[in-house]
Amino acid sequence: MSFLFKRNPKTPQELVRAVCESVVKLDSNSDSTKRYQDDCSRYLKQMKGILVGDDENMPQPDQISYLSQEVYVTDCLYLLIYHLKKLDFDARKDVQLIFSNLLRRQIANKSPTVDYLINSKPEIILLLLKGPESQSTGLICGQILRDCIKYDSIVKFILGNSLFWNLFKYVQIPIFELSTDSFITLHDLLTTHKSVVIGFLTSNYDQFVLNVNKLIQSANYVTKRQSIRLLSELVTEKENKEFLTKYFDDPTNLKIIMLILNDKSKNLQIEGFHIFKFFIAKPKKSQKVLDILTKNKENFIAFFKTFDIESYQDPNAIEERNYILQTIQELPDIERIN
Amino acid sequence: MTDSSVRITGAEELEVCEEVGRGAFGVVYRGLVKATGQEVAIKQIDLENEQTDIFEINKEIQIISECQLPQITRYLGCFVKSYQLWVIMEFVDGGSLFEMLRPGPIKDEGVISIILKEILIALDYLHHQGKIHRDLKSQNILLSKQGEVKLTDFGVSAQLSSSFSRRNTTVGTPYWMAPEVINNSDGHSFKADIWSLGCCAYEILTGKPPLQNRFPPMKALHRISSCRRDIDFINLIGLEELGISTTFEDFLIKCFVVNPRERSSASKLLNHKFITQYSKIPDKAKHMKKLITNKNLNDLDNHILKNQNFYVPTEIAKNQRKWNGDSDGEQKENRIEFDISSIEYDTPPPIPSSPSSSKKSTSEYEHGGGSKTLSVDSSESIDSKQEVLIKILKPEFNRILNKSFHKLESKNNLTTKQYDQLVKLNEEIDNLMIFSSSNESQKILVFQYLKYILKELCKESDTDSAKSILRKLVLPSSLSKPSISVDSSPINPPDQESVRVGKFDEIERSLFDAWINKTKERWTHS
Repeated sequence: MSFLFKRNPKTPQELVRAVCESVVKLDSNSDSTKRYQDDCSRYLKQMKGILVGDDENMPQPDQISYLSQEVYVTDCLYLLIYHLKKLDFDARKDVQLIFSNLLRRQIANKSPTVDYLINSKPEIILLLLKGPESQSTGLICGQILRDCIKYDSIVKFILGNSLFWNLFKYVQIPIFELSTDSFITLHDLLTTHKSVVIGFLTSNYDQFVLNVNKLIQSANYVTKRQSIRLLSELVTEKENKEFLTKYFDDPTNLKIIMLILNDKSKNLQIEGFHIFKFFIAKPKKSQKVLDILTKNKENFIAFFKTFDIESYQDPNAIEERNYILQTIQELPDIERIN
Repeated sequence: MTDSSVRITGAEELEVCEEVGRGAFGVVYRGLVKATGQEVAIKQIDLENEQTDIFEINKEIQIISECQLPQITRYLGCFVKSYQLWVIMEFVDGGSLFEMLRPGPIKDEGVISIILKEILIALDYLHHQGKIHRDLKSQNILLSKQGEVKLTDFGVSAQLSSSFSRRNTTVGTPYWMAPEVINNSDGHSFKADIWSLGCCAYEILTGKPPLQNRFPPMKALHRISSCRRDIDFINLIGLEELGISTTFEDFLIKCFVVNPRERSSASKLLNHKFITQYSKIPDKAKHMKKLITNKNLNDLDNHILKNQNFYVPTEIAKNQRKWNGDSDGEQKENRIEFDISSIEYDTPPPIPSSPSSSKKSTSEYEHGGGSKTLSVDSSESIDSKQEVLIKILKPEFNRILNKSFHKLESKNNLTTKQYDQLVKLNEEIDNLMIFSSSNESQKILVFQYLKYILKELCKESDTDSAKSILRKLVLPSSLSKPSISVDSSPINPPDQESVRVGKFDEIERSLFDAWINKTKERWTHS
């Protein structure tokens, strides 16, 4: 076993360099790929050991510090993410653990890894954003990415990059885990750092609403439900004032929500209801929205009288339903066009 | 690398067979991959159910999709089909450890050690990835007919069963719970699984988890949570009176350390003497297979033929019933449950075979999932003859029932309530598969009843329009056409659609159709 021991890097710096060297060699499609793969797995395990400790040893701050310095210098994280697919199944999870651990590391209230990602190697974030394009590593990338977007500076970076819009494509991938994972990422990006999102929604209203509305009209039940839930969360955020005004004044949005109210699925109806109520409650309605509401007055009355909201045991919802009904009844009558 | 070997991406790749379990979230079926014939478990999760949270489910699916270990049931894919999510998992064909304990507890410490080792390997794997099982118990440990031991259901159903327990006052499975979990103190870690493992070991040895024989669940929770010192629990469960070897006793003591920080980890326990001393036992699989054989034999003797009901949610549902009701859950179920699809009746035995044949040599059952013939003790001739007849008829009738049920289900979007009602109806029908008490007539109650209903429906009566509608609705057209002409009926029989959706929905829907058509019209005008 002594020959194995000799190959073992001793210091954290050596370890990081060893990982980088062997991960690059995974490129070549030779017989030794398996050996390099095993090497990578072993080194990554050791890196993990330094960062989180093991049964016997507590992690040592100075060791961690040496390790992370070396990671930044060698662009080790970039190499690992770039070659993620070639690593073995369990090693990929170690990469995720290492990445998240480095992210969480703080020095004087600052995360050096976040600084590194934003200022030195934003390519890593872009690689992660494209993660769902690979089935085998999409979920790992998704998890790392969501750890990243706990930091507002990274969210800001992503929302400002055109690759962000790919997420609307990824959430429609037929593979459930990948599409749902992308949805969670999309959701987190738009809901975790509200102050960053306000500006984004204001300046990108058209493109955003167009994309969300497309999702809401998807044939896939899960896509429909998740997207309408996301929208629901965004429109209850009072800080998004400009976005809200635009959204609730647009008759196209109302029409789409009316279609959701009409869906066979009870859950979609309820979700639709929670958006629809704001069209009704908005104090100054746009003329076009008012027109649609007035035209459909009788239909709405008939609908909300039978709308089965009691079964959801939400007293607020019942109250809201009654309020909607009342408001609609107060709308002017129009002559029936027969 | 096998992580992309099999991947099921759509319902069209699968053939759905019989139901093998059900819980709060939906139903589990056995299925076959059309291309390869591989057996799979299909969990159909009802996404319309208000209790299902798609994000939560996805979290769990990510967890199971990240586990690739022979000791853990393998995830094979999942996809959305209308309002359902289908999760495809490896199908483990031997049954759960819980079922293996039906013939009686397992006293052989070697066998216990073999099982525990496999579970420890699985736990070690999970814990090193920062995952916690949280619901370890005999129902979640499965055996394959090849003798493999597999941990299951820390995925979808574990999540669902934990939300299940959150909604109810009685928690999922109290007897296996570690003190820190009950007390919710210092955010319970993976060490909780080790405590539960100890409970499993106790369960294998005695047939029941600690305290189950002595306390009702809530009381047991209280007793466990009030243990301050390790010795408190050891004394409480009477560990020293179990009559086990000192190494086994030491193993259990290591599991039942009250302070989770001081409790051993899975990797440490893997090196415990109780595990290592048996690791050289030859042909471990044989011992596991023997357990399955014993269980099958025992089931046969007790007429328990449904042997694949190993999904936890079902068990939890049963437990809940047990706790909410009274002690009658403790009684052994005597009802005969046929698992019709895995048994083939080549030729129905007309005369019961001799008593001795019911005790077949074990080897015959070793591989015998496919075709078994029933043998029944013939001591009471009339009764047993009727029994035999029922045994012949029942599977076939059950098959018809099941088929009709699945047809109904696939054509309609049944609500959970409707589904449950239908299942209940099927159960009742099953219960009524008995001979009427009047001795002269050899008639099975439920069949007689069905016959009367059909007879009554077929009777000609042109005046009674309601009846003719009923006839059209109930009888298949191929049966009703020759004798009945419904066209003359003055009332339009409700069309298929409205029957399907139900009255309320029909009104609601037509209203909507009218509304939406009008709206659309106006949109195009404006």
